[in-house]
Order: sequence, then structure tokens, then C-alpha cells
Amino acid sequence: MKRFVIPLIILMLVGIQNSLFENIRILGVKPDIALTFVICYTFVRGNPEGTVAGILCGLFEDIFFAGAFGINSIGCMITTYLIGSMEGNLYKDNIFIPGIFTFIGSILKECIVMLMLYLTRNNIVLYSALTKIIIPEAIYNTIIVVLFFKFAAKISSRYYIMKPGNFIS
Amino acid sequence: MRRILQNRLLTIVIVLSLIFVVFIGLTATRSDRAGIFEGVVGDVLNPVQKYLYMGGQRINNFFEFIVNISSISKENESLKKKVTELQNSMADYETMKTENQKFKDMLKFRDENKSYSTVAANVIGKGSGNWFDIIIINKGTNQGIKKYYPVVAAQGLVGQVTKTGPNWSEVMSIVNESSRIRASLSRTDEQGIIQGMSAVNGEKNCKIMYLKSDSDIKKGDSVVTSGMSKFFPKNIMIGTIEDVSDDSNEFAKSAIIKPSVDFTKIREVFVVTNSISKDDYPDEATIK
Repeated sequence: MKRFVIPLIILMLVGIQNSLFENIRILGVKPDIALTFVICYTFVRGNPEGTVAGILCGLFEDIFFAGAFGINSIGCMITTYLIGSMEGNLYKDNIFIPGIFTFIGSILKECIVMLMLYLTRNNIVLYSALTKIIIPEAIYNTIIVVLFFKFAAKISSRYYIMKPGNFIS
Repeated sequence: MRRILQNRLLTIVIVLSLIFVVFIGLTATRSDRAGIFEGVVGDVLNPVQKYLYMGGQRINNFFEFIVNISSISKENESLKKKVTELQNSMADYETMKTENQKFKDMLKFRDENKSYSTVAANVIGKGSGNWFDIIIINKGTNQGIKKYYPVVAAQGLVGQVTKTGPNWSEVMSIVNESSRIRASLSRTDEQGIIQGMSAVNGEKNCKIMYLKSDSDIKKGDSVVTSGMSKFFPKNIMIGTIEDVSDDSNEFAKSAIIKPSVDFTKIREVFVVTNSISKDDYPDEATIK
């Protein structure tokens, strides 16, 4: 049962982000709290669990996404994979390290999303998307992670999606 | 061992990336029925979203109140001045009112004659991410909603159904950048195409395009659906012209429209279920 806790949390966060945060937009953007949680999780547990959480997060986000299915999935997966593969070498006690990684991670994910949207012939102006959506959202995400990282880290270290060492296939 | 594990993960990530890219390619042109996975997850999540969305709106109203407190005293001063001005215009208003009532009755009469049947639905959320303006409503195929059905609110046109689940649907709003709707100016009957756009301050508006360059479009003109499209009924209010661009280099005039529906506060919508006749309903195979 324990391994369903993290997927359920991610699913709830996607729901909260679509409904509650829709009304608490700052500068016209809402934060991607599911992504911030997944980044925190990856930060604590590393790969492969981080990547699995990233894929789940992306799939859930894709359900309520107007573009093609899979765009968020690929963005979240690549972002969490890269952060997870650096996990062993990070100094985790400073609260600003996860903040910086969230900032870079959010920009990376949204850039992948933007690129995919652009390639699937959506009407997107790259420069204004960067300044109006991606960077404000990344700042918003970073603030949320700095505030809630301790809490997210506590949950992440208690629950796991797959047992460590179970990844042999 | 750890290295191999990492590399194996890398292989999986690369393979999955390729799969996702293929999937994106396959689904880029669809947005009709949600798959089984999407349908089930949407059904589970949407009742929860509904209450969170309502709660969020309360929080939003509360913050709006706090932010406005400082400007209230200033406003009070200017309001007092306005009151005297308004009392003067009150007399004009009375005559306008009777006239307006007359027009309204005419409009109502016309609307009633149309006999479109609608399904009322509540807004329970917006789409994920900041890229598109998608509204999620709590009615779906079980209530007879299909893709392409137009969605209206009391104030005017909201958008079009783009995806349906068993008990929920996605509506692409008219302020969405990829939305295109045929419209006409109600004063001059000129035809144009409406596209969503986002303003500099993050506010969402629409733009009317492809008007003739000698068009005498003015600020304050109201814009309605033209009825040329088989998807939208005629004469549904879209919004009012806010700003006309005077770019002489362009061969066609365009203008910014303020939608009559306030998309930040939208809560209840109506899906028109019989405006698309059976012959006009697009064949899924031919639509790409």
C-alpha cells in the first residue's frame, strides 16, 4: 500500500494546481506544484525513483493539457532524470540548493514543453513565452520549494514508489 | 553496479522519450474523446477539484479586498464628485432605460425563437500548465455532450468543447490562442475572424482579424458570432471592441476585443446541444 502514497500525492497536487491555484495566479501564472514536489522527491531519493515519479507527474498533467498527450511527460521525465543523476554529488543541507535546482528544473521542463508545442505547430511566440510564462513560473515554483522543502523531504524519505535495489529488469 | 543501474535507467529514459515523441506526433491533431485512463482519472479527480476551485475563488476575492483597501479612501473622494455628475446624467438615463428595455425585449423574443436546447454545467477547473485556456466542466458524454458543441454563459460565448470524458469535458475558451471563430460586428455586419491573445499584463483578450482596411470599426462596437460557421449559432455576444490598431501597412484591419464573459470568474456555463445538425457534424475520419 505504501507505494501508492507518492503517486496519490502527485495526483492530488495536479488537482489542486488546476483548481485552487487557478484562482491564486500571480503575474498571470500559476505554479507547477506537482513538478516542485517531484523535484523535491528526486532530490531526496535520487534515481530511478525520481524519474518514475517524474513520469507519473507528467502523465497526470497531460490529462488536463490541451496539447498533444505526452508533452508534459517527456518534460518531467528528462528534468527529473537529470536532477536524479546528480543526486549523489549534492550538498543537501542548504535550503537554497533545492531552490536553485527547482528554478533550473522548472525552466528546463517548460522549455521542453514549449519546444514540443512549437514543433506540433502551436501558435507560440518563443520570446514572450519565456518572459511571460516560463520565468515567472520558475520563480513561483522556487519560492514554494524554499518554503516547503523540509516538509516535502520528510514525506519523500518516508514513502517510496519502488524499493531501493528492486530495479533489476 | 550503480553505474550499470544508471545506464540502464538512461536507456529506459531514451526509449521512453522516443515513445513519448511518437505519441505526441500521433495525438497532436486529436483532441476528441479522452482515453480510458484519462476518463477514469478525470472522474476521480473532478469532484475534488470542484470544491477546491470554489474555495480558491473565495481566497481570491478576499485578497482582492485587502489589496484594494488602501485605494478606497482615494476612491471615496472621487466618488463623491462623481455622484453630483451622475445625478445630472440620471435624467438622461431614465429615457435611455425605457429605450433599452424595449431593445432587450426584442432580443429576448429573438433568443426564445431560436429554441436551442442547452445543458447547464459547472466549471470545476482549468487545464494544467500556463499554456492554454482550457475550462473543465462537470458534464460529459453521459449527459449527451459531444466534441465541437458550442459553450455559452449568460454574458456571451465561452468556447467550444474539445474533449469529452464520461462525466467531464474540456472546453477551449475563445481567449485561447489556438481558437478561431467567425464573427461579425453587430453594427455594420462586417465579417472577421476572432483569435485569442494574451495581453502584456497576463490578461487574456481576443483579437478580431481580417476586417477590410476601410472598415469603420469603432471602440465600443459589439461583436457577435456570424453564423457562417456550422458549429456556432448566430448572434451570440462575444465582446466589445476595445482598441483598433491603425497600422496602415496592413491590408486588413484588426482590433482588440474585450470578451463579455469574465473568464477569471466564470462558474456556470451552458452547452448548446442541438445547434450542430446531424449532417453537419464532422466525420471523425475526415477531420484532422
